[in-house]
Amino acid sequence: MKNLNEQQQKKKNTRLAIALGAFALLVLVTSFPFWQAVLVEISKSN
Amino acid sequence: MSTYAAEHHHDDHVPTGWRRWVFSTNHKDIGTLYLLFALCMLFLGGASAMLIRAELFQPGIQLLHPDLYNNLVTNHALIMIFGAVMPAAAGLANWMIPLMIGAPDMALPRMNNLSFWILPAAATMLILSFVVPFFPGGGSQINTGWTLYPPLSLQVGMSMDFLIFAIHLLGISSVLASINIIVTLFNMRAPGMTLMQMPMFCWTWLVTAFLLILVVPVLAGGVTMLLFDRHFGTSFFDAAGGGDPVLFQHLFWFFGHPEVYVLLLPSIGVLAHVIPTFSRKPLFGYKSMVGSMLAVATIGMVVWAHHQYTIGMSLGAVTYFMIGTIIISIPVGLMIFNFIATMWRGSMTFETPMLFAVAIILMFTFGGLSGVMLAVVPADMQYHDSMFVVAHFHYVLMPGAVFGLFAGVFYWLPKWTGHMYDEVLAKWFFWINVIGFNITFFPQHFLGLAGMPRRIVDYNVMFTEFNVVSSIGAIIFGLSHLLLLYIVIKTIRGGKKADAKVWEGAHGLEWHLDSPPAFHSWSTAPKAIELTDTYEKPQ
Repeated sequence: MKNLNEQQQKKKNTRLAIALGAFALLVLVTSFPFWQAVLVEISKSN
Repeated sequence: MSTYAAEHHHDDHVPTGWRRWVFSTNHKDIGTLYLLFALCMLFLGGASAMLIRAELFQPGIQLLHPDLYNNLVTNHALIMIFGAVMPAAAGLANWMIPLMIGAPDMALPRMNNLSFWILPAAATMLILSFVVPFFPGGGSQINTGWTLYPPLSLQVGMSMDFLIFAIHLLGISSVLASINIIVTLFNMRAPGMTLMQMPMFCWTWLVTAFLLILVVPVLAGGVTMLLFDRHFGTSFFDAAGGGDPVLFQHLFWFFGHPEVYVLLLPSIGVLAHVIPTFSRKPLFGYKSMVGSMLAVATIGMVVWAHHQYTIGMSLGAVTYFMIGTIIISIPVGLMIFNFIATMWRGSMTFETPMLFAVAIILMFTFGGLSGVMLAVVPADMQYHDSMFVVAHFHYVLMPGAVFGLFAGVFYWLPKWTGHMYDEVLAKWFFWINVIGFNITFFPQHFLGLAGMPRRIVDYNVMFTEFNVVSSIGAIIFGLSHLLLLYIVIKTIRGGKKADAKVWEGAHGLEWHLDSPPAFHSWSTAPKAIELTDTYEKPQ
């Protein structure tokens, strides 16, 4: 890890946190239509 | 006093009173809050378990109405999983990750405060979901079990809405905590510490945090759709409106199966420190441990439907889920092999954390073997929804998750409090706890194989003997936790002073700090000499 000053470190942390939060939201949003389409088909495949 | 603690005492301002805890941004205080919260929930969830076992002491209905019995079963699971085990693991993470990687605090301290303080609100909603039906107009009891399957969950009264909101809050708390842990581990490691030099506990939490971010939003999506079906006229899961109840099962288990690894992995991380310390040897196979963990997490994400064999999937689907599930036993077996190889020819001693570690290896392996039995589709048709499943998952989760947390608490308690715990009492706790656990859950294998269903308040008289044994075991097991409480309180209040390096065989950055560490630790990064004092060297 590189030595960063406090402000740089906070900026870096915030950026990564926002990216991860956006990813979690993406998972949440895609869970609605995606799973309904795919998993209903799996359920019906018997 | 260690060099680093002495250097930093000048800025060691410690807030006092209630503000210290409510507004805390200090990782140690928040870790303590998480652990205390988990301890309270452990007793609440334990009380519901004792009531369940009291009811099952005899055939017939003694104490509990069938719906109340199922409400207790539901709440026991949710409180233990979301209230006790996950917060306890988060407590260990908060306390130990910054100390282990040489960081002054978690990367996002204010968010850390938020993730904890959402929990009491969520717990309140969870408890309300249990008590609301007792009030006039409160509707029916939640009799669905923790899986909340529709159509039953669409028919339950308003208590289900409290439960859905509780799950939303718990999910937000978990995702925020996971983001914080990932950012801390990626951005806050001491200069010179690469990912492959990270202590294994940090690795287990990194994988756990990613798992949580990937699966918790899916559960949130699932219960939100449930809420919409209940109140806003949608028909995601309502067959009467063209929906599919089985879809919810898929969504739930897409979260639910990786959740098992979320509960297990932090405890595996604890073992990866306890076993080398008390074997006085480096951890065997660091790289293979990391690889195994990644394999478990990856495969664990794509085998969820082994919980649903009996719903009637196609032959191709069940074959895939069966093979995938059995394959998971390979990386898990590799982890167990590494632990045994670490102990092999080590200079072992058996302090309480090590006793728990050995017990975990034996009993978790046993739980894993019954898991392989359940993974086999034709066999599962027999075992499904029987007490065998209850025995299996308690053998996986009590040793695999809870005993691991106990090992961690005893291992690090002297570091946190500055006092050694009472080793004699702790060993008593270990033996009573482990024996009580086995008396409770071992007979349930036989009950399940003989055909006793789970989640039913009454049972056939032919199951009486094993149920009596199981309930007596539950009394021993449940009461043993009062001893844990006494030991923890006694250690906090006083006792023999603990050194900075509490255990002779321990290695890692955290042992270079005082016991207890200063309120602000690692304000300047550790030097190279401390970084080399770690067992986590790629071999």
